[in-house]
Amino acid sequence: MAFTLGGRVRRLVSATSIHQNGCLHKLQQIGSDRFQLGEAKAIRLLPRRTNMVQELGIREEFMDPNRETETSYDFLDEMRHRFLKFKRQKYLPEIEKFQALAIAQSPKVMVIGCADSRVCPSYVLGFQPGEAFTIRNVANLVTPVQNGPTETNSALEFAVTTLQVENIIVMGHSNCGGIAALMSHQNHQGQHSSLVERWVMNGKAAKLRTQLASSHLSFDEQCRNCEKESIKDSVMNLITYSWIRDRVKRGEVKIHGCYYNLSDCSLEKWRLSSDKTNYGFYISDREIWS
Amino acid sequence: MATESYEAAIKGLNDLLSTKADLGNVAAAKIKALTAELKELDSDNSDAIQRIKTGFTQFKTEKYLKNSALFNDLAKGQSPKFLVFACSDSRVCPSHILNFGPGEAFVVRNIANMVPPFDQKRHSGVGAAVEYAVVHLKVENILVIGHSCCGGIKGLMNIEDDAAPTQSDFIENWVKIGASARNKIKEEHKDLSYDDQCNKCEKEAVNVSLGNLLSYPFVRAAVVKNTLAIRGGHYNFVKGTFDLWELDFKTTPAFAFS
Repeated sequence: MAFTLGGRVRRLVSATSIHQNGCLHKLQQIGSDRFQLGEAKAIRLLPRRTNMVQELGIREEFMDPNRETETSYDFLDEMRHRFLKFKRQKYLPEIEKFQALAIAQSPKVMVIGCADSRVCPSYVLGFQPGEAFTIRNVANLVTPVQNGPTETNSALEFAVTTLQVENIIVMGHSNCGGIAALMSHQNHQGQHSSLVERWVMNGKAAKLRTQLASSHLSFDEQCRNCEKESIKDSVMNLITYSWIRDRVKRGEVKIHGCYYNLSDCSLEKWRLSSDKTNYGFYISDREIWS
Repeated sequence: MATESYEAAIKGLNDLLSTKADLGNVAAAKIKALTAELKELDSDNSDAIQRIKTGFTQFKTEKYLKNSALFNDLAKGQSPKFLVFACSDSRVCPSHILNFGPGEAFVVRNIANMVPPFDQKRHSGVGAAVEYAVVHLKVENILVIGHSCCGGIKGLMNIEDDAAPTQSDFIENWVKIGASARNKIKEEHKDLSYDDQCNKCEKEAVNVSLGNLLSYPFVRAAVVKNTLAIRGGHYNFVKGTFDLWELDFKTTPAFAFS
């Protein structure tokens, strides 16, 4: 099917017209692969979000500059408004801080959080610009070094070796769609049909432990448990990277896990401790803030 | 007071060791372990943990409890209109610079805000995020935001040539996703300073990511159906500006030869 898709909001045309000679012609299908140009009609282009094209009468009326334009959702306007609000309320009042940050960043913390729209680590934990190097992926998963390169471990490498952060926090949350997908995924052996399933299967160990321990609980309760088990696994996977393990042993880096519960706004927190006697690591010191 | 019981305990230990000197080594080892343990416990109340405790408490009192209707709804599910790719850089959180509130934007953050091309086997992390946002959450906009002074882009520009051995384990392999941007800038803007080249590369790398987004079949389908828009942005925190542009994706009318 022939169509023209304009990227800019104002030049959007419908799938059955073409733009020629300054006006729009309807493409009429008269055979299985034949089209002819029909009568020209001026059409008003509505923005992408509404996905509608409205026909508004003849060309002369449309071209009339005095014509009143309807207000419609304007993406550019919304973005401009958002950015200028930041600029007015944060950037300009603290301009010296931002100028210093522009020269270099030196965050003390790295956060690995979920991409979920409700759990931005800056928002929930109150980080200001310059404080936290943030990685966000589906279900806040950290894969072990033996699984090879991912977007997450390249960012880990930068934060730990170049920026030399002192704290690493893995932050998970309740009602995680990624963990729900993991828990409901049936076919472990066969082809993973979707990209989401392929990625969340990195949390397989947490799922198996959860099912073993809590198969009597409801699906939702099992998901809550799996979310926490997955955070613990991600924390332990951090240690598989030698440049992290060495720094933890030397006390230069501390690792924490935390679990944000959306329903009651509580934060459960653990610490990774090192066992000096046998060079092992374990999760300890559970606290709840609410 | 604590020190009194401590003094008493030390005295008891000293008394014991004066009679059984061979226990000295055992005592020393245990005291070392105890000291380390106490040190760790104390450092847990380090600045960072205090910081997030304060931050979380502020979030709860100033935002969560004051908007309980919104947060109750969000607890049931999310329906963001945006999928945002931003750099992991601590200075460019989209919640700050574009004022996204809870529930508004599904945000992926990685080095140099890269989107790799669609691959069934590799880069499943980004693929999963794009799939989840486009197919399950049905976002209406994808925004890839680059920024000034990006360390990842500097790393990309510094790679000598594609065949050179990697110096780091993972970083170089990751930023090489933007290699075509680097090559283009090096060819077309040889005369510019290093900083200017990096600036242009930051924007060109966003364009590479936008192009890569179209290699995901579900993204292409949604763009063609006109339910999804793809845009690029660049945040310059040195100047305090934000650039925004669109991806112009066009197929021209077909002429039927018959």
